[in-house]
Parts: sequence; C-alpha cells; structure tokens
Amino acid sequence: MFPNRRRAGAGLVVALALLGYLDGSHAGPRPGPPTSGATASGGETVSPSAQRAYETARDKLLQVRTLLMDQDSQASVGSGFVVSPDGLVITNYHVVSQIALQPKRYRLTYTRAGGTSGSLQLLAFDAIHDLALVRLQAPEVHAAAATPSDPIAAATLPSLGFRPHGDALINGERIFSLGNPLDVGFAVLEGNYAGLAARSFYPQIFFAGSINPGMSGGPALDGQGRVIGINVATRRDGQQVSFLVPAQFAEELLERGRNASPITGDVYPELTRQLLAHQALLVERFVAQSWRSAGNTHYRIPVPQEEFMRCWGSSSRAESKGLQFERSDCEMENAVFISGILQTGRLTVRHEAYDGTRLGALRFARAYSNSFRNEAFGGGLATTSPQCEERFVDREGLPLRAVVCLSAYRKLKGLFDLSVLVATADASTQGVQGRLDARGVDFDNALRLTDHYLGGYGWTGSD
Amino acid sequence: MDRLGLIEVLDRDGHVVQAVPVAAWPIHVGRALDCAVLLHDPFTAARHVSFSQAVDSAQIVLTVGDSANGVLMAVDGTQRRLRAGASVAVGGGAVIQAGRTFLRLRLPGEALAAEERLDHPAQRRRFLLTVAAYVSLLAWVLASQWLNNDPDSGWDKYLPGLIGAGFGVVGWAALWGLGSKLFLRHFHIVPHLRVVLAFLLGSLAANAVLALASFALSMPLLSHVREWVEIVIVGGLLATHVAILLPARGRRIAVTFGALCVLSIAVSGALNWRHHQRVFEELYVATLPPPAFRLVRAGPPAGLIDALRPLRARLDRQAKEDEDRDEFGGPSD
Repeated sequence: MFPNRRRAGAGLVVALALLGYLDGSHAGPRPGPPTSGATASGGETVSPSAQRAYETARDKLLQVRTLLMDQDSQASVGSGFVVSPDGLVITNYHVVSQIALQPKRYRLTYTRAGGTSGSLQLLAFDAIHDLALVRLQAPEVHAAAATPSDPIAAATLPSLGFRPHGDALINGERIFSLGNPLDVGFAVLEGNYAGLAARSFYPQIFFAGSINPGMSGGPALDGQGRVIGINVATRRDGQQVSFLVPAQFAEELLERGRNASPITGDVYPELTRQLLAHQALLVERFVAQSWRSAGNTHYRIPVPQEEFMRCWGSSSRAESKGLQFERSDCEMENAVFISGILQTGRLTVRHEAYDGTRLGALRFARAYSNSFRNEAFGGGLATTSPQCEERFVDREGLPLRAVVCLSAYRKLKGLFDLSVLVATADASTQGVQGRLDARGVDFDNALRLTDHYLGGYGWTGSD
Repeated sequence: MDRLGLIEVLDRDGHVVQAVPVAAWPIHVGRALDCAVLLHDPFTAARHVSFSQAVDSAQIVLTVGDSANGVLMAVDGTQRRLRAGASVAVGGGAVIQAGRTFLRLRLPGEALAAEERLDHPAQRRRFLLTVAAYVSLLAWVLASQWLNNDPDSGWDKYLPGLIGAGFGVVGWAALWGLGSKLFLRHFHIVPHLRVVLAFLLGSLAANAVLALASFALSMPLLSHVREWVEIVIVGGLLATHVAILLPARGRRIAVTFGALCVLSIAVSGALNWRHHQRVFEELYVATLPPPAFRLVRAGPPAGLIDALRPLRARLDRQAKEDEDRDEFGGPSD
C-alpha cells in the first residue's frame, strides 16, 4: 500500500506485549532506586490487605525457570502457583513454551519464596488462553508426603483456591497480582478490577495495575486471597494497563489435566488441534458479521465490525498536492503465542482509498502501482514461502485485481497464513487497495475468508 | 627494383609491426639470421616457413620448415594446421599463424578494400542516431521522474535523475573507450555510447511492454519473465562492448556471453527455487496501469477460489520438505 503511510495510532496500538518478551526476563540486576520487596508500583506503601494477600500466597508461589539442559543458565523466568495439595501448578503457556517445544534443550525448575527448589513436569497446556499445568517434582512433594509409599496421593502442599464463579467481581474491586518481577524477588502489586478488556476475542480481565516481566503465570487474588486470574500481559505503551486470564480457564485446564501423564513427546499435534479449534471459532464469528461501511462515496469497501477488532484511521495531509488517501487499519489485538518467533490465530483487515484527481491518470497509475507493490509477505521461519494466485475478479460490475497468497505452517499441519490483496481497476484517477490477513487458518477457512472478503467490495449502493 | 610482394608481421590485434619487401623468391621467415623476415617469437623455428615461386607458374607456394608447431592457416576456407615439410599454394592477403606470430602475405594485383571515408554518410547517420538515442534516454528519465513527482514539484527535483543518467551512460561508454584505447589504440567512445543507449532503451521498452501486456492479458508470466529478459539484455550489452574491442573474435564472444546468460538464468532460477520454491522472484504483478489497458474480462470470485485449491497439495508438500528445520529455536520469553 501507500509507501509514505504513517502507521495508524502507532503509539497506541502496537504492543500488547507478552510479559516474557520484555527484556527483564533475560536481564541481570539493573541499577535503580532501592525498593523494598513488597511495595506497589508508584512508591505507595503496601496496604494491610496487600500484606495479607502476600502472606496468604507466599508459600504457594513459585518462580518458574527454564534452564538450559546442560547448565544452570536460565533461558527465561516466569511465575506460577500451587493449586492442589498434590503439587499441581498453574502458569502461562508462554512461560513453559521452550520446554514444551524443545524438551531436549531445556528443563523446567522452580524456586519458592522460602528458597526451596526442584523440577517441574509439563502435564497439559491451553495455548489459546496462554495457560499451562505443571507438576512439582521430588523432593518437595515427597517431603510433604505423610506416607512415603504413596507420596503424591497423600501430599499436602499448601495451595491457592479459586474464587467461586457465582461471586462476580465488581469494577474497582481491589486485586493483588503476585509473582517474581524481573527475577528481583517475590512481590505483590496492587491494582483494581476494571472489567473485561474491550474487543478481546476471548474474555480477558483488564487489571488496572502493574505487571512486570517475570510475573507471567503468577496469580491475581481478590481481597480474600482467592485466585481470580492469572497474570499474562501488559501494555508497554501504557501505564497500569495489564491483563489477566480469567481463573475459569485455569480451572478448566486443571480439571482436564489433573490426571494427565507428563508430556515428553511432540506437542505440535496438540498445538495444531487447539489452533484448529480456535480458527474454526474465529472464522465462524468473523464471517457471520456483516461488513461495516467505509463511508466511501464511490466504492463499497469491507471494513470489519469492531467486536473483536480495533480499527484506526488516518489520511493524507489536506494541503498535499499529490495523492490523497484515507486509510483504515483493523486488527485483533490478541494473537495466540506459540513460540518466541511465532504468534498466530489473528486477523487484520485494512484498506486505503485513493483520490488521484490532482495527479492525473498517468501519475496516479504510477503511484497506485507503487502502493500495490509495497506489500510484505510473512516469509517467517515457521511457514513455507507464499504461493500466490492472481486474476481480475468481477464484483457486481466492479473489476478488481485480486492476489491471494497462502503459506503453510511447517509443523502445525493443516494451518495456513492467508493474504488477500485487492485493487479496484475501474477508474483512472481513483481506486481502493485493501488487504486481509489471516494467520493460522485451515485451508477451507482460507478460501471462505477470501470469498467473504472479496464479497465486501462493490459499488456504493449495490448491496 | 620491382617489389615482388610484401610480408607483414602482425601483432595479436592485427596491427602491422614489421613489413619486409620481397625482392626475390624464395624468402625465408624464422629466427635464424639468414632469414629475410626475422622473428623473435620463441615458438617459431629457426626457419619456420619459406615462400617460393612455383617452377611452372607465377603461383607462390608456402613450405613449412623444420618446425614442431607448424603453421595455422585457412586452406580452401577452413582453418588447418600444416606440419613440417607441408606445402600449399597461397594468394595475396593470406594470414598465417606461426608460433604466436601472425604473418600476412601481400602480392601485386590483389584486390584492395575501398578507401574508408573520414566523413562517411553512414557514420554521420549513426552519430545522429546516437544523439537521438541519448535525447530519448533523457526524455525517458524525465518522464519517469515526472510520473513519480507530485504536480507541485519544482524543476530541481528533476536534476539528480537527469544528471545521473546523462553522465552515467557517458561515463560507462568512456570506460569502454579506455578499453578500446588499450586494444585498438583509438579512444572510441561513440560506438560504445551507441551500444549502451541501444540496450538501455531496449531494456526500458521491453520492461514497460511486458508489464503492460501482463496486466492487459492477466498473464503474470509476462511480468515475471522480465527477470530473464534483464539478464539477457545485460549479457548482450557486455558482449557487444567486448566485440567492439576484439573485432576478430565476434563468434567466440557471442558463444561465451550466450553461455553466461544461460548459466545466470539457471542460477537465479535455482536460487529462487531454493529460497521461495518458485522459479521467478516476483511474487505477483504489481503494475496497475489505467483500467483502459485491461483486455481480458474479469471473472467471478469463484474462479479465483477454484484456482486456489491446487495450491493446497503444493503447500503441503513444501511444508513436509521443510519439516526437519528447527524453526522454533532461539531464545524467547
């Protein structure tokens, strides 16, 4: 698209950063003002209830560390918490993704607030909600066992309980997020419940408080010390805008994986299964929506509803003597984290409407072509190179040049990345170029989305 | 004294370095001091060749002396190597290679090429054509910049492109001119300028025509194939420049550069296949000229959807081939 575009709302929209990505997970000690281990951000002193929350959770908190197989160097750190007396622990999938994907290169260990440590085993994961269930290994579980003959069954580790479903949170309710930020030490950070995050495809709690790298997978507790969510992400471009996975998904994972045997083999088939289910739901909901109007006087342009996507608009400068354009960028803010180099399962739709009457036909053709050329295609390590098909497509008399490119995931069999580029080809000094991207959809849904997207084009009033 | 003939010793570029008049037949050529035509080439024998007059006619006969290398010359239209002791009748203008030395025999009565005119009309025409081509190139650059610039752009926006292209081609031709000074002893810039202009304009025209045709007929291949056309044009340009420097080796140059072009195309295709699993680098056609250029009808979306279906098997195969790569490596979290 237009080469000189400025990314719409760039400062606001870009980084829904997963916690683990922040540098802190790899960083050593950093210089800074000394703070006590248990202060809330902003330098406020801890409230008595925060103190209580910390005391409640202290012996149920873990720091989850991914170590290289043959040495004690940590590749990443996160947090977790014990949810059953026999040593089941909930954390984030992205905290344990390295061990899940490359079990021969990494191992998983934990350290507790008291300093005890041991190893962890992966039992189950829910990549879609970024959760994982792991189990504490000997020696700690054995030590807590009453009868050495059946240590697991009889173990009585202290564990955290979930807040009952019927007991809904109210806006402004105090929430305490716990974990081990930046590998500095266990801490409680205080904030409050701000409802569910708007336009999130799956429900996500908007936590008006701070979460730092290293706290991923840690619990968020209510005033009574009951788990209401799991720390998952924060906005790098904001302050005190953080997100929690609602506890209900962790409970479901716990039920599902409680008796599972440790995962030691290839996790890709399971990841694929989860992603296939996710894309089926996503595409179903997406194509069920009608397109919104782009407000163009000439063309009908597909703009998605803002139910689970967020759109930003921008336009050329009014005083510009050259090409005039209006731009719309719509994208889902959440993607499914698979690995450090792969996030998938998301849709983006954008377009630019051009007016080249000030340029004339020839200059417009040049600018229009340059804009159509200026498109990037995945080419990531996780997928094959794209293969494209292109032709003129007629939409109720409106001729379109349409290019559809697909690439296949190498290890997530049956999943594809789709890009549909469209340029209207009816007028010599005006036109629209649009693009739909769908990451991680099955082939049939790729075709369905292509059809759905092309169907969004037409003349204004030709509905 | 009548001049019975002349034996010229030529360098590798065909320039005469020594000319020995023949006062009487036979005449000997070699490194020995008793040779009338004395050579300094270590690859020649003491008496390498002799020219003599036939007993019963005026025909001049060449006889190869006691030489290990013999001579190379055209006999009845084909290049042949004559061994020691061999004899063959030779006419005026015959060129004989002895060792690394070239000899040319001149005889009275041989037909001479017409005098070359200093102000040949064809030459003047070619010069005017060169000027026209140069102006066309600058016009093309100007037009291209006009297309890229906004309507309110000042004239200064056009300068860098004009100067760059204007001096660029002349500089390129001048470099080859230096080459011709080296090989031909003359600083020929205009023939090289003509060559570079012809190929540049040809390349621009081919590029534009293929891109437009690709849009008009909705045939992506026409646009993709520009990568190969580009290689062929660059190969042709270089070959023509070199052929001007080495006029006697036209065939060999054509074969060499032809082979290089084929090789370059094969390598680029192989690299594209390795990196992108396709022959051409271009992924899709981005040229969107005014809609009046479109000659084919637009089809229903279902046609495009159907055309996508075969991609599945291809992508699945590709994914399987790449499966062993460990793409999820590297640190995260």
